[in-house]
Amino acid sequence: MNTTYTLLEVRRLLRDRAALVLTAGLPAGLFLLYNAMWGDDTGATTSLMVMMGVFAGLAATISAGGRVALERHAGWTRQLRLSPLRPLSYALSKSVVALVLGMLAGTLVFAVGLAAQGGGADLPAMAESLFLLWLGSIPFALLGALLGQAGSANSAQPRGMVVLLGSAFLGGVFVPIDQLPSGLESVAQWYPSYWLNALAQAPFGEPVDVVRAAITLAAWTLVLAGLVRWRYGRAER
Amino acid sequence: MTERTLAPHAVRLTGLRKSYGPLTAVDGVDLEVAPGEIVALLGPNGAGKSTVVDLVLGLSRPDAGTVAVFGRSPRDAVDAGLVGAMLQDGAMLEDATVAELVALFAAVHRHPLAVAEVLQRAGLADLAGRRATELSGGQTQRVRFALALVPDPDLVVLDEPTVAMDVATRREFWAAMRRFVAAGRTVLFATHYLDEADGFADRVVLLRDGRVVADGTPRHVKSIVAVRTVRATVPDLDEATLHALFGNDAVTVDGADVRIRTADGDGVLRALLARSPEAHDIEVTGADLEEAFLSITEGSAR
Repeated sequence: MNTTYTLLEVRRLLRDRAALVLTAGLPAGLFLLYNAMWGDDTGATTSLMVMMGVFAGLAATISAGGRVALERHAGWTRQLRLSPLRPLSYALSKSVVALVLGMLAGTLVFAVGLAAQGGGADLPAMAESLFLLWLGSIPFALLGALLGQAGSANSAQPRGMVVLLGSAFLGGVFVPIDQLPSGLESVAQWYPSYWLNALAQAPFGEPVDVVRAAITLAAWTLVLAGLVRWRYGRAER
Repeated sequence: MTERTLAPHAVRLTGLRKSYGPLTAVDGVDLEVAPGEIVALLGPNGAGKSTVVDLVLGLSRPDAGTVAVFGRSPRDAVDAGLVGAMLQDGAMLEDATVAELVALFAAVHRHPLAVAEVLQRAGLADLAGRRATELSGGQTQRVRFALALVPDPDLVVLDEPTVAMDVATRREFWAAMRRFVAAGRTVLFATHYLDEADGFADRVVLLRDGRVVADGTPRHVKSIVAVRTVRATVPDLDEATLHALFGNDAVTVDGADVRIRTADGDGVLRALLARSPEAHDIEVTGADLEEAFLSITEGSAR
């Protein structure tokens, strides 16, 4: 991965105010709305905060695919092939940029959550949760890069939206997973966003099967990294 | 510009073939370009120019044959910063400024020129802060030119560089290009503008149906094709007789005025004078590149 290129990409990202406001602002706003409806001091507020933090992380990383698709459409990736940068390296830069955006969005949600909780906030747990959230977003950053390289540029946005909503549902972001139709939870347990949410809830005292969470997330990361490598390697030809 | 240019060939293509499905885009091309040469790849749309350019740049792989750029694979040559290219399509990110685009591209090259220098050489110093999508066609083309300059290349490959430009901008572009190549750089450019090939290249490679059909100086290409136009006023032969004598495609009849395009001007002249005692105002002219090009590309239809 090329550090200078990645840093320039991050700078470009930070300048894109509209994307920042939408990606980070929407989950933060949703959190405030949900908190006004269901928030209390028995843990519902922290739970809602984590759910919206997860949503922010998912939205930021998966939407990176749209950026890749646009750059492919604009001929930028073809231009980059006239440089020593490898497509795989480009994909990793894009994933890092996606993770930076995810971190910013998650942090904003948590900052709003902190304000909502006032003095009762458990700061170390929040920091741990945010870190786990960021770590668990890695497979989705790879998924975003993969979505951007596959298929046409025009269909990248709707495809990203479908994947985002699917991942959000399976992660129990909008509706707690145990309230979904029976059987869905056992399906969701094979999907990384389920464990992303579960891990991020854990620092606040929710029980979680850490081993299974780690294995599932690691397995998805490896498989997606393999697919990214294959798909972007093919772009060489 | 270093000792790297001492490789015997800037570009060497041997037995190059490339098909896209049933369409054969490049059908056995052999081509050697010496360092410092300015070579035009000339041909109508669909002749295989862009495919050859893609193969030289390593953007696609040949089905058969080899590509060497300064004795290396295209990928190695690109990695070493030996090649700069202006592609026909894109490379404009909506949210990036001109300076950022150049900086992004410079960031991934190993030995790039300074961004400010590139902007200045491409005539973009005043537009550095402009969003890439707010540029005119000619300005956009200058950005593509700037991206080609970034690695300080020994070989510049241009795919239809002036296609979206008006005449004045085109002239300006070639003037800038001339300054750039003065230091002995090699240029390979695809074009279907004959005046560009004639005016800028010192060698023209004519492509038709994925094959090289003529190769030489603009003058040499004309002499190979040897197209002459015989013009005369012929009151005593009718159109059918003229067509029968000289072929349907080559003869244009307008009343008594006749135009015959031929590779054998002397033969046509003899035949015409033998059959038409009243023929007068006879004029035989050599072909310009345009006519050479027409006769050779029409040949493919038969």
